[in-house]
Amino acid sequence: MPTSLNTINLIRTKTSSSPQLDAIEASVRRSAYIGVAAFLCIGVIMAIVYYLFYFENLKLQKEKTQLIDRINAEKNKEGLLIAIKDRTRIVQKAMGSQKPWTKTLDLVATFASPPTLSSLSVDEQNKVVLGAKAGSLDEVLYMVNTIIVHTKENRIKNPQLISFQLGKNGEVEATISFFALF
Amino acid sequence: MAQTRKFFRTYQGLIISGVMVVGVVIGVFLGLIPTVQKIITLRSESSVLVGEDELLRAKAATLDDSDEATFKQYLAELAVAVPADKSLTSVFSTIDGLGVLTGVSLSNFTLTKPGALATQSAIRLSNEEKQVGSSLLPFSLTVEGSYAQIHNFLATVNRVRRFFRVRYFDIAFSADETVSAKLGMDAFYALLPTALGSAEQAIEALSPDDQDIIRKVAELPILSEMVSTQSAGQAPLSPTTTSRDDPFAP
Repeated sequence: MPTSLNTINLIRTKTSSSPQLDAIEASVRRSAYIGVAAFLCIGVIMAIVYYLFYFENLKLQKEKTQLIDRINAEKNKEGLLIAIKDRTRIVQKAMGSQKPWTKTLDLVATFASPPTLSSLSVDEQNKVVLGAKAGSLDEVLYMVNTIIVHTKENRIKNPQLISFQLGKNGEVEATISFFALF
Repeated sequence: MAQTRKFFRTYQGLIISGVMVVGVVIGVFLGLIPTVQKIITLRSESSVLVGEDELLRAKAATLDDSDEATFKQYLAELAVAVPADKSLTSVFSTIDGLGVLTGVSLSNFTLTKPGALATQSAIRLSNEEKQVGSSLLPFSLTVEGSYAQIHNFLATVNRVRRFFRVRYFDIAFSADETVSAKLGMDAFYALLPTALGSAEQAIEALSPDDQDIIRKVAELPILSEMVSTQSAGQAPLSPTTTSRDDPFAP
C-alpha cells in the first residue's frame, strides 16, 4: 500500500511479507480465479446438457407409454399373429416330416410291379422290404441291375438280397431290402 | 489471539485464494462429478429408450398394418391342418373322405395311443414330437383296393387339410388284383400359444414364407366336409380303440 506523509494509517492492513510469498499468493489467486471461472463455465454447460438429456428422456418415456398403450389396444391382433406364426412353423415342420411314399412305389415300379411284386413293406426307418416272384432268373437279374443303378444314382441305399429261392419250374422267389432316400 | 489475527492479516490473500480453490475442488466433487455421472446415466437410459421406442413403433406399425379378420381366417385355415387338440372327429372324417376320394375301402381303424381326450397341456412331448414340433396321434388302418387306388391314397394322404403322415405300411398283393395295405399313420395336433409376451417383446410380421405356407395350406382340400356330401349311402368308418393284443377285443 502506498504511503505518503499526508496519509498516515496507523492500522496496518497487511503485514509485510516476502516476495516469494507474494509470488505464491499471486499464483494461487490466479489459479483460484481460473478454477472458479472454469467451474462456473463447466457447471453451466453441464446443467444445460443435463436438462437436455433429462427432457429428451422424459419425451422418450412419454412416447414409450403411448406406444405401449397403442400396442395393448391391439392385443387381439398380437395374439392372432403370434398364433399364426407358431402354427406356420408347426405346419412347415409337419409338412417336412410327411414322406412321399408314392415316390418309393414309383421307384419300385421301375423294376417290379404286380404280379411280380408280391409284397411291399416300409418301416419307420425308411427300410423297404419287397418280395418278388419272377418267372425267370433273367427277370431277377434285371431287377438287381435296376436296383444297382438306383443305388448309384443315390435314390436308394444299402440294397440287400435277403432271400433267394429257385423253384423247379424256373420260378424265382426273392426278398430284397433297401433304404429309401427322399 | 493477536498472533492469529496477525497470521490472517499476513496470509489473507493466500487464504481467500485457497478457500476459493478448495471450494472449486469441493464443487467439482459434489457438483460436477455427480452431474456428469447423472448425464452418462441419462444418456444410456435415452439410448435404451430410443431402441425400445423403435421396437415398439415397429410393433405398433405391424399391428396397425394387419387386419384382424384376415388373421382370424389364416389361423382358422392353419388350425384345420394342425388343430389345437386331437380332434378325433376330423381324423375320422378326413380318413373317411380319403377313402371316398380314392375309392379304397377302409377297415381296422385303431388308435394306437388314444390317451386323454381332453387338453394335452400337461403332457410332455416325446423326442420325436419335439423333432416334428407338434404332438402326434398315432393310428393304424387297413386299406383295400387296387394298386392304383392304394397309390392314390398314399399320394392324397399328404395333400389334405388335416395333416397326417404315413409312418409305415405293409402292402400285400393277392391273386385277384386286390391289394391290402396296413398303414401306420400319425395325425398332427398342437396346442395354440396361450400367453402373450410383454408389450416390449418384439413381434415379426408375416413373412412371404409364412404367407406361402398359409396359401399352400388354404389350397388343400378339407375332406371332412366332403364326407357328408359324397359318402351318402356308404357306411362310415367306425373307429375302434382296441388292438390285437387287447384281450377284451372281439
